[in-house]
Amino acid sequence: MNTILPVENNDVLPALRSFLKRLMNSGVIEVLLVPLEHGEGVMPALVTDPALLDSANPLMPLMSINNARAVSAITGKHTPAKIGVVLRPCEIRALIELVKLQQASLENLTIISMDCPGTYEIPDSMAKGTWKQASNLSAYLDAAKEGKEPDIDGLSLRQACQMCIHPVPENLDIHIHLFGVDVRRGLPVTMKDEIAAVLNLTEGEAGGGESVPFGHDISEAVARLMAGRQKVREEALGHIHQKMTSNDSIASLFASCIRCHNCMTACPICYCKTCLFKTAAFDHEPEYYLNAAHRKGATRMLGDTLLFHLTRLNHMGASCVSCGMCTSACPSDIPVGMIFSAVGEQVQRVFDYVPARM
Amino acid sequence: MCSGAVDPVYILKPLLDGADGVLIGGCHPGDCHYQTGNYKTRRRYVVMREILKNAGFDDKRVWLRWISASEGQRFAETVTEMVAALKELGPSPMREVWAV
Ligand code: SF4
Ligand code: SF4
Repeated sequence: MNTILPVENNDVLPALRSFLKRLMNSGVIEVLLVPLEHGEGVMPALVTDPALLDSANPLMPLMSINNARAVSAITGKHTPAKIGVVLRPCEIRALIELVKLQQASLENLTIISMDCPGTYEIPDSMAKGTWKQASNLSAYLDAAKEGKEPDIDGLSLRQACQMCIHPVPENLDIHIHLFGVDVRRGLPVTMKDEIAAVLNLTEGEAGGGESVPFGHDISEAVARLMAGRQKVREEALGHIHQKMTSNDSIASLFASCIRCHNCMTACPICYCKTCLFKTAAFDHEPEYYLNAAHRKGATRMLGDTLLFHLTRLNHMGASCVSCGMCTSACPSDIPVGMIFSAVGEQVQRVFDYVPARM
Repeated sequence: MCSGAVDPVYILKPLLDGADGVLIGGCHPGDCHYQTGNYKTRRRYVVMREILKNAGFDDKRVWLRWISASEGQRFAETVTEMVAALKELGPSPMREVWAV
């Protein structure tokens, strides 16, 4: 069912917040996982008190964690309540992978998502105070309307977002549209009929005489964005492949890795409860290092680094959803997500496997 | 140990330590004591070779062969065959300072 939520004074956020409250007050959901404003950014929180949704802000284009992890924590064999979750498209895709791996469940879950024009590195926009200015959010929504890359405050989108070919959410219950529509005149929403029935919403409500914006503007904007992103992705991954095969293997890409494990901690798919690399398995005896040095002439003292990355690739590469949380978490600026996307894609091809396809 | 319990890390560790090759022996398809262990191995093996190849390494250094515990003769033949093949490939480039 398609409907348009009323937006007053060109201000989208209050419309969005009141819709989220309505979901809660009507009993569609009892709790909501949603980013709340916190400090100068946002942090996902599990909200039971609808009044606190006054600080909900899913529009701020910052992504501190991939929330598939959080959904995994609050669902399971028995999901204890009717839970709503506001997720970005890549978070839904990671969630579907976790469901297949039996690490999360869709039971009792209402997935709410928005078109995602992309997110920014948190330190970059914090340093500039970018999202304190309403005009920047406006510019961001304008870019979404046109299907263009946002150009805001001299900031670049996160690497993964620049090459994201899944900006439109799939496998969800409530879809809030941003692409190809002027959300300041009304917020178009597509939702399951049974949810619309509980909310007492009817087709095209509150459109205020506007032509219903579910037409070709949307597909045109999406197509424009996708064409550019597809190209960026192909170039970026091609570059990684070339480095891995022509230079000195994947080792050259991880040359500056300090094996801090941040990439693994941030990865929503890396789900093992006890990671081998967090045990004492690789605390070797002194002789081990000396033997390795003798065998190789010299040995990198921050050992087992490639072992860590190659093992992780083997464990979860086929499921990699290219969310790039690993890249954002890396203190050494290694394009971990690109490397995992490039190799993952090849493994996926062998099995004709598409991550997040149900 | 069931070949289905061979985590990729057991193959990668010797390779990165400089071994010229790693042989995984598993029971014949249909013969798994745990029903499906060797089928899991087979899938993991495909994944591992694809990753090694894409990461810029030689995927021909890892072999998976169906050899059950009672097939001593077959085991000996396979090892001889593998040693010959590895000699042809030469020493592993992973026996290198930064490949750890
Ligand atoms: S986050 Fe970066 S430095 Fe840390 S282990 Fe991963 S690749 Fe290495
Ligand atoms: S490896 Fe990186 S890009 Fe892939 S799913 Fe994990 S965090 Fe996302």
